[in-house]
Amino acid sequence: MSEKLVEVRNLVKWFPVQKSFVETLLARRLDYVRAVDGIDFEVRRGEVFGLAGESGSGKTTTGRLILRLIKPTRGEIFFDGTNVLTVNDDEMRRLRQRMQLIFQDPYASLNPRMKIGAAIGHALEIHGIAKGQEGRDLVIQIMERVGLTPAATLYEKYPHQLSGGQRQRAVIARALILHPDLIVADEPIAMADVSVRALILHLMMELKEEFDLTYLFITHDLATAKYICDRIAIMYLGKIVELGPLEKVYSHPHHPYTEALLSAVPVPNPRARREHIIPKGEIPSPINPPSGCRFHPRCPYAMEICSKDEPSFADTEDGHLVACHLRR
Amino acid sequence: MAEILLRIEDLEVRYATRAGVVKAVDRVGFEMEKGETLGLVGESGCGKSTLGFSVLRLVPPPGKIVGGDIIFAGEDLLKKDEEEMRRIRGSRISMIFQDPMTCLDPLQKIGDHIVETITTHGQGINRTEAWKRAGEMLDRLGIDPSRLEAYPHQLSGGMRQRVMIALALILNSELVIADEPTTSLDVIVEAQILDLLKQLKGDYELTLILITHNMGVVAELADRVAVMYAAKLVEVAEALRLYEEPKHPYAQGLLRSIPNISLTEQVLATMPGSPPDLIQPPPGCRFHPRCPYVKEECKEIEPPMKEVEREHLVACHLY
Amino acid sequence: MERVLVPEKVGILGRFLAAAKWYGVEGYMTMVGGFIVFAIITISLLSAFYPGMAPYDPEKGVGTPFSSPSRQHLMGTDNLGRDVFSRIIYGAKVVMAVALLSSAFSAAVGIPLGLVSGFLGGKVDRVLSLTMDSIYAFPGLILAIAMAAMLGPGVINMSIAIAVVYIPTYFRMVRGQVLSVKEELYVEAARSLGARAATILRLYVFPNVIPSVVVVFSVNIADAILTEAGLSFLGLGIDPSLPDWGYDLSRGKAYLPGGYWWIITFPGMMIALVALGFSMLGEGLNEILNPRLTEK
Repeated sequence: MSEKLVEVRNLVKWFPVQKSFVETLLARRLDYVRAVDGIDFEVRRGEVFGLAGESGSGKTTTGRLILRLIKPTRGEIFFDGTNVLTVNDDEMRRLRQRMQLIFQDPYASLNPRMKIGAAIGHALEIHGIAKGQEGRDLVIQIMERVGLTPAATLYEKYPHQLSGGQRQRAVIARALILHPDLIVADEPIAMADVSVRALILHLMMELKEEFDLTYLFITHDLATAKYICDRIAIMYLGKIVELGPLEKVYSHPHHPYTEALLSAVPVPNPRARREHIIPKGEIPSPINPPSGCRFHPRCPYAMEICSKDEPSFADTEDGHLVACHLRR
Repeated sequence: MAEILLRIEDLEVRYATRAGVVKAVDRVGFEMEKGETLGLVGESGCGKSTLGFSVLRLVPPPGKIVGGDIIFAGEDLLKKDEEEMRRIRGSRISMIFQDPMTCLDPLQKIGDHIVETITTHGQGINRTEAWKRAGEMLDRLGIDPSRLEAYPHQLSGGMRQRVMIALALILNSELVIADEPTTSLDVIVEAQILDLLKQLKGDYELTLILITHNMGVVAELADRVAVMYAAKLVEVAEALRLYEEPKHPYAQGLLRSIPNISLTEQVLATMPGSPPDLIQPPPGCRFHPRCPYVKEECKEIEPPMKEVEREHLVACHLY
Repeated sequence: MERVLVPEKVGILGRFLAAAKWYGVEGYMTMVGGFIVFAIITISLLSAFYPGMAPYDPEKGVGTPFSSPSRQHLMGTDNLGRDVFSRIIYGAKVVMAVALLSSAFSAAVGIPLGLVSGFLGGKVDRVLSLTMDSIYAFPGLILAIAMAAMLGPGVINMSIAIAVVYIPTYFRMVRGQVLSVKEELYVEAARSLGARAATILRLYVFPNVIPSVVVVFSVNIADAILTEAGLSFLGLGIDPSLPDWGYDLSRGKAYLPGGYWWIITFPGMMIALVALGFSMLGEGLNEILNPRLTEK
């Protein structure tokens, strides 16, 4: 039982760009979408680790890589000391019991032809943990725990017969029923109604205490991340630009991108209308990322070295890391 | 006393669906002064988008406006025929939609689209002149005029949204309705668009209806806020007043349940239950099944909209 | 604006009727199609198990040849004095047997192949797709004729001959559906739970692919009926002495110039009607089977 539940080293995932037959003939080289381009981090047991970024940052891909739903191009992923990439299928199946995924879109992630009870309990069957009545009892139990009541009635329903909030609870129940160590939550509240979001966040926090969970919380919403995360990593164009304890990163962002990102979050308070720091230009394509530091074309503090050398990830204070030439 | 540009009274919009008749907007009314920005907020399904579409009489079938008045600059829009409405849409009243990709013709260059908008409203402007104006507008919105030659898929999300804004402003619309204009955008681009809208508000003296579920976005732009719940208006107030002293229990719950990045310590309040079925809404006050202050009265009688303080209206039996 | 409430407990029939009411013209068409199908299946079953249903023995001359429709012979008699109406009733069971059998064969072969091909991809997919496309390239009737000629007469052989023609249709339909369902989030969710490929195919892919197949099935039956009629018309069908609509159609052609219209008309009408019935039913079935019908 190590303190590091997940360890990621030099993780890279490039997706080949789909080209038409003619384009492939004429192209001189293959193009890749560099979704994740060399990241290192660890998730400690018992924490809520946030992975934040805008579109194209690579955060969703990272989540799936950790669960080995896609295979990395390069790099290493360790789960509780075991190398996730070298285990065989049977071992992987056993490992899957310990790490689960909560999806952004509860409707799309539930089989429309499977009753909720069966969907939640399916994992029990897959791993041979419980069958028949015993399995059903476990499902009812977990349904009640996440607030899917009356459980016996909802057990027989299909996804389209539930409300959005109920579906998200079903997805959570499905992930929990195996009592995993790690839950990767990919934008779990983004698609929920505003008034239901707080409920789901609270539920997740309660469950964390009760089930001794560790969360990898993937989100683009920095306000929510602030509420729930202990540590956070900010991703930009496939790389982690800043990582550290949440309070430190939010109160003293070291990376210009983090600074801009934090200033851009809309605040539900008209008195708090503040200056937005808007980096110039837009997020470049991950097929052809800028040389050196990826943020340099947009950075208000860019120096000459920024376009040439990629800054390495360095520890500024205890546990607060940043990849930026300014902080040298 | 500023001029009232838009007055909506007792508006009722219904949708006929397989499961029954959905009352999407149920006797909603409010006023807007020229030059003000009204934030129309609520969760998905509360009727805010339908309300926005109603002003332009663009409610898609099987929806239908079945009652009420929409008075724009003194004229009742519901009494106009289709031809008159067509002339108003895009010129006097424009709309900015949530997803530009579905509104911009993928086969038409941006420039052509804008020019078409200009010439359709027949102001006798020739094509060259229209093209020039389009270029000027893009420039104003921070896009290089050469992008007039581009097709929508060649532009980024933020740029497409700015093109939508250009289309809305190019004919100096008196009223602009923005339906979730930044919801599909990344955070930094969202901030950019909000800054742009703030600037344009001043430059063009825009009267803007900002429809959104994002309370942060509303706080950035709105002068006044109208909160909708289950097809009804529950509270209308100046933005500052609403955020600091929300009176309706729903508004209170909503504001307390949103993560606020500027607060050091925050405990999110939760609201039990979920928004009701609009085919068979709860009797009396629609919010009563979820309300922490519910009384017997609330279950039977619908609370009327009352002015409880200056410019602050609430529909709740507590007052 | 009337309220159309769909009670969830009513099941298929309830949803069927509600859909019919909701969809107006289309709905009533589906109902009519359903009714025709129901009627014809009943007649076929009855004639198979209760031959006394028909007024006369279809294989014996029982009246004056070429007599026009009358009270004794509702559809007249043919050249050998056989009662057309009885022949129609007896013929029904052959037609339905062949149509249903061949569709069942096609489905039984095409669906699993489509599932496997779409799910596995790679070389398997490519080989199967190529094979199926080659079969598909043949005009249906010609292929059926070739197969029937090869196999010889008889109900089973005819069914196989027709079945081969439609296997690629099921294959393509299922394969296409599998390809899109494979990418769905709930399949990824199943993988994240640790489900094996076979389980995913069985519980997550197959049930979501099947609804579209049902539509194909009913349209397939309609088509099979027409093909069967065509084969019989050309003499490649079952034993010519047995009553068969297609065969009667072919013989009736010769007597049309003589003004004896009923010999060809009634079989032709029945073929068209039943084929139409199945088509209409198939078109509407998609809406019925889709659980989203009861969505709020």
